Amino acid sequence: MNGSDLSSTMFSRRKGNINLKNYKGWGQSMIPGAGKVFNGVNSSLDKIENFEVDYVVVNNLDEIRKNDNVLLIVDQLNKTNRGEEAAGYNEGSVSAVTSSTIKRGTFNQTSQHEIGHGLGADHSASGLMKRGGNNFNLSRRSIGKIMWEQAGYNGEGTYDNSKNNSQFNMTGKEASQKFIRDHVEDF
Amino acid sequence: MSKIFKYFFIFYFAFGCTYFDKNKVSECKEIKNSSFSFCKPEEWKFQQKTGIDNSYYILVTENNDTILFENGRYAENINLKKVLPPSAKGIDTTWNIESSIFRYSNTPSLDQALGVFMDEYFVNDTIENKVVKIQIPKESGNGITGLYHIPVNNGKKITIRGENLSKKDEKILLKIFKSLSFNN
Repeated sequence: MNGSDLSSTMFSRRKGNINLKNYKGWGQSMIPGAGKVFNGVNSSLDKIENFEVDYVVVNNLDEIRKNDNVLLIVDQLNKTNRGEEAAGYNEGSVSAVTSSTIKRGTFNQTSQHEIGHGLGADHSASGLMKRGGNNFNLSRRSIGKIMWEQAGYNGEGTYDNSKNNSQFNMTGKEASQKFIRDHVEDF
Repeated sequence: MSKIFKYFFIFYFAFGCTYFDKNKVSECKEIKNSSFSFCKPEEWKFQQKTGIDNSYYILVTENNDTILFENGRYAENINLKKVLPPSAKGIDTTWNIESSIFRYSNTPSLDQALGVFMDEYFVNDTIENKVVKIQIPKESGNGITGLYHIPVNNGKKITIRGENLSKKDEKILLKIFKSLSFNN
């Protein structure tokens, strides 16, 4: 959304790099039950060593590059997501967060929740990926799911090679336009 | 002849009192929304909640246990078909644990694949010709009672799950699963 004041958010500069420490750590194996059996032990086959986001704030869809992942800031989502703060896809390149989250102070958490979905994490019982969201901690299950979907035996090896969402068959701009048609009110 | 009639009457009455005879409205409340409908006990409360990026529902039992009812793109899923092959890299390097408390074979990766250590059984079932995964605790009160449905063509997933439910509530929830009807 043009004119959103992002100065109090994690995207406070025109462009920058963010290191999300809460995304780091051992993930829980995606084998059912494994996390419980090996409670307290590093049971995952994978670990997120480092998680950085390079970002650029733009005010025009024409500035979105071909393989960009896009977080839209919008006034309001349409009737399919009415009353909610955000929308996205499990494994997707585009998501949206409402501007009201900036005033409420929940923008960073909501944005990181959608980034998690984009990487393949579904909802979990606690932490950043909880439906209601109660803190920034990414659970071991969510880390395991991200690794599984993106770099593990289920994944294609890289994020933009994901075959599970049609957004990856379009350019960043095309995917954003489609997302706006499907989910955003009066963009 | 009158004896036969009497037995028939008693038999019918016994089954007519279950929660999920839809003709007995006083004990079965039907819940409908655009994607699904199901039958629940009158005493269980069904509430809609708004999350960060979707609406979801909870069923509250008489014991005040909460059962999650989520229908959407982000609903939790389990990966029954995604059990790692024994030859997967790293499989032997991270499972370093005191194992005497478990019953296990000489092939740990096989035990894992068969779910020997898990708290629940997993069953593939069908409801209205749609494949669902059912999760049932091996021991009542300890584990997740759940249903997971993933539609073909990237549609909305359905997850229903309650944790550590009483034996009675677990049975009711399994009956709720049976009463499910998908509207799309």
